[in-house]
Amino acid sequence: MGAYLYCVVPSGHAPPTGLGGLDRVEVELLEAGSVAAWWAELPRPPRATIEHVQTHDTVVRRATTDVVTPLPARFGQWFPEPATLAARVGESAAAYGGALAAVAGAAEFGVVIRAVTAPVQARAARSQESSMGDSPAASDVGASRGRAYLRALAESHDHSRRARERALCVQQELGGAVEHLVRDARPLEVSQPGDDVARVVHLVEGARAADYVAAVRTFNRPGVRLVLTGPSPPYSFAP
Amino acid sequence: MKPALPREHDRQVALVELVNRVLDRGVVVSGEIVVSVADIDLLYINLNLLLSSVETLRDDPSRATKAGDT
Repeated sequence: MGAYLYCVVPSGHAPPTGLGGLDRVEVELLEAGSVAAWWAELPRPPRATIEHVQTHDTVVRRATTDVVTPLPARFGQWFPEPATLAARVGESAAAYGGALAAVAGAAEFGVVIRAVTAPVQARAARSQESSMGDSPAASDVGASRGRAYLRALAESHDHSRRARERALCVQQELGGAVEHLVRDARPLEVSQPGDDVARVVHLVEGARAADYVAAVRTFNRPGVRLVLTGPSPPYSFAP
Repeated sequence: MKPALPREHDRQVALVELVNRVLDRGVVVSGEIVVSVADIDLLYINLNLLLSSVETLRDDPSRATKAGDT
């Protein structure tokens, strides 16, 4: 029977009786050196669906108490035998113990910084239509459209660069505004096209969470909008 | 076209962020991760598209049937 890993916890921190995970299989405690793991039997690796991801996260959240914060496992870690799982976790028990101490009593919050300026593509399209209508000679139409396209492209790149610079500036200002409320902070990579221009995650102690949320919600800067997510288990702060 | 409500938009962002984080972050004990996505950004974009599609279908469930007919 295979074993599926949910999270790493301090030794002896058992799941509540009857807690169901993927396929509604009961989650169990597996001691592994000086730490332990929440796991469940699973005949095969789970499929990566949104429902399964949410179930994984729900189990991890149940491991969280006022004093214990689990180290969430990345989704999809399946082992052919529970003993293999215990051995692999046990190999890094010292590192996991240190990481558990670093996140204890804290939760992860995320801030997505988004540009709120009008999409450049729309202006580019209007510009293109306008240039086509202004050109009386058919031979000029192609050149005019080409110029409009290149102008739109340049404008789009310039807009993205300015939005990114602005977001990074806001991210730094936000970091300063909440510095006294967070235990740790990590910027996340943003490389997808779209209007997400910066992302950062904060590790915040439970006692300071309300102040942190209030500080982020009242942090306003022109040209950007902040979306706050969390609290969640510290996925981004796991080793 | 109906403008998206910020609250609904934020909910979608939160879900995408959660899924992205659970798939891309966390303790890695095993090399046998099912979601061995080398380029997580591609998955992120796909999730955005998927969530948008789900919302569209919720607004107009008949589209699901029409899509299935074609």
